[in-house]
Amino acid sequence: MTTQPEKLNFDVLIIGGGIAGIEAAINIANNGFKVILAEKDLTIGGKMLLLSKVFPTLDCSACITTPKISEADRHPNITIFTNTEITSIEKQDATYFKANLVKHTRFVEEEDCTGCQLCEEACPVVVPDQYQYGMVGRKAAYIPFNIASPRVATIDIDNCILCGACEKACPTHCINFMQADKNYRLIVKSVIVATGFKLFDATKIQRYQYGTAKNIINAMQMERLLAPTRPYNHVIRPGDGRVPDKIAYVLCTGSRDFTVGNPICSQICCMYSLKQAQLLMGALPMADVTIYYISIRSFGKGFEEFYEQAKSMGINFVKGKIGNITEKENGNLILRYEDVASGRLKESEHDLVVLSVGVVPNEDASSLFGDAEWKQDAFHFPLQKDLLFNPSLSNINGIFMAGTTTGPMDIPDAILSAGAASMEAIQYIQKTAL
Amino acid sequence: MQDQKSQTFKAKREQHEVSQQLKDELKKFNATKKKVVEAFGEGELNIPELAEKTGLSREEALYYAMTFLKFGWLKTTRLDDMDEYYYYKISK
Ligand SMILES: Cc1cc2nc3c(=O)[nH]c(=O)nc-3n(C[C@H](O)[C@H](O)[C@H](O)COP(=O)(O)OP(=O)(O)OC[C@H]3O[C@@H](n4cnc5c(N)ncnc54)[C@H](O)[C@@H]3O)c2cc1C
Ligand code: SF4
Ligand code: SF4
Repeated sequence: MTTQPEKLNFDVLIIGGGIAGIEAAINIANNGFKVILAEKDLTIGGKMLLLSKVFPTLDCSACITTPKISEADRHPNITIFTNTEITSIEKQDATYFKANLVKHTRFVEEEDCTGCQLCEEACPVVVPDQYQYGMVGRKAAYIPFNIASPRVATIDIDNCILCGACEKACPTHCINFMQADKNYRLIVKSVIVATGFKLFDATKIQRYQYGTAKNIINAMQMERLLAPTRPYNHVIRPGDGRVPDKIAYVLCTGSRDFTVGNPICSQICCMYSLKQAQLLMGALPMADVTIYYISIRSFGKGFEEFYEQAKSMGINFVKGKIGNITEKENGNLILRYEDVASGRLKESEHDLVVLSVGVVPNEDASSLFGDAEWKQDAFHFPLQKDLLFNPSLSNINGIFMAGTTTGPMDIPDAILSAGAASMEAIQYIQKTAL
Repeated sequence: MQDQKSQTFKAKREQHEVSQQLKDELKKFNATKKKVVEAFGEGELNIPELAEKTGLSREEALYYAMTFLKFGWLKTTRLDDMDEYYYYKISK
């Protein structure tokens, strides 16, 4: 059941509530403009909220993200819509855009939910938890994780058996199965696309056995294993719960690889792998960690020193591209590779393999803009009309881009890019108002 | 109003059919939960031991044990002497 759209006016619509979208929202709001931040997920924060610590400072990611999130949340000029889909955006004239949004129902009255999780406790249904990449279960009535924002429950209606236990348990009576999606029509003066990136799907490289061999995970799963809100409480193998002691990293999985359609470097994988390897040395002091690489790209400030630090901690570096991985009966993995130093084909055995998956474009925005064609570059990221001098400009006047929407980048660069996009949006509004 | 609201799941049933597959999955989950709880009894087990006692694969045993740990139904007791496997027991 849908309702007539409610009409709302804002200065800027920001699509995507990752760290770039949040930063852009705060910048614009601090300059006195009204912003709506529309996020498709149940929580804002994007991938940064799911990371363990961040290179090169090794700050706790959740600890540095949550103050930004609460700043955006409390800001009088920022309205945040989560669980929201933008269905279309039309440019009307030089001064404004019309956008259609659907705020999907959570079957919970958000303002009345206290986040007590009694519904979760009462719910009998358990399904794989997407926020822990399927490594543990969650209930059909659930809060994504403790630091989710907003910290309110959602009913996963596709997995709900309508037993009513959650509704009966809720002390504030805020669960409402009759709640419908809500439509909105927005009038905005400018738009920032901050829809971020997608992780390369490692099942596309079948010879690496991701998804079939039990003890091969991707780097985002390792972030979860190392994070304070981790699924297992310890770093253990997903295949049998054993503490790993010979861990391998396979760099450039799905990056710099024409055969999978992604020829460019993902820029972050070398560094996040160096970071995870260091964190693993802390969590599992007896473990051997080996990084298989083509070339280590530690190009930022302090990054080369971070690499040197990893070497001095005893992390092994092997220059060689992994050809294939096979699984042994005991769940260990045999990695076959060309060792560049000796020019020989070699094999080595590890008990846990982490695939350092690359950054691929999120092409969601390409379907939003109707007649005003949204152009892409050769790598399927949105076209940066003036890459050198105005990297946040899209090919549509008045629409700007922030963060990893335009290509791989780390958190500091995503913040910088959000700063540029917000200044461009403010200037655009001021110019068109004249 | 309060009473009316706390019955909305019933009204939803009129519009939204719960599939047989979901009902079967719930039955399977409950049966596995019972097996896991019985396997632990009063004692402690590691994942290979839990798998052996329940007939689950080690991978499934880990998924269930870690889910139960997250819900507070299990707790970790210790790491074995070889530093290989953690042990778990029922916490309530
Ligand atoms: C394993 C791993 C480890 C990393 N470690 C580090 C590190 O240690 N240090 C560091 O600096 N960087 C690290 N990074 C990089 C870091 O995650 C990114 O730089 C950062 O998350 C980029 O933020 P973003 O806002 O651009 O994108 P995202 O985090 O991808 O956020 C995009 C947001 O937009 C939302 N969205 C997407 N599509 C839509 C849509 N159609 N409508 C509405 N909303 C939408 C998404 O749900 C999401 O919330 C790591 C990345 C990975 C994968
Ligand atoms: S009604 Fe659905 S969400 Fe609520 S407790 Fe029952 S199964 Fe869980
Ligand atoms: S929906 Fe109700 S029971 Fe669930 S977290 Fe919110 S207030 Fe608590």
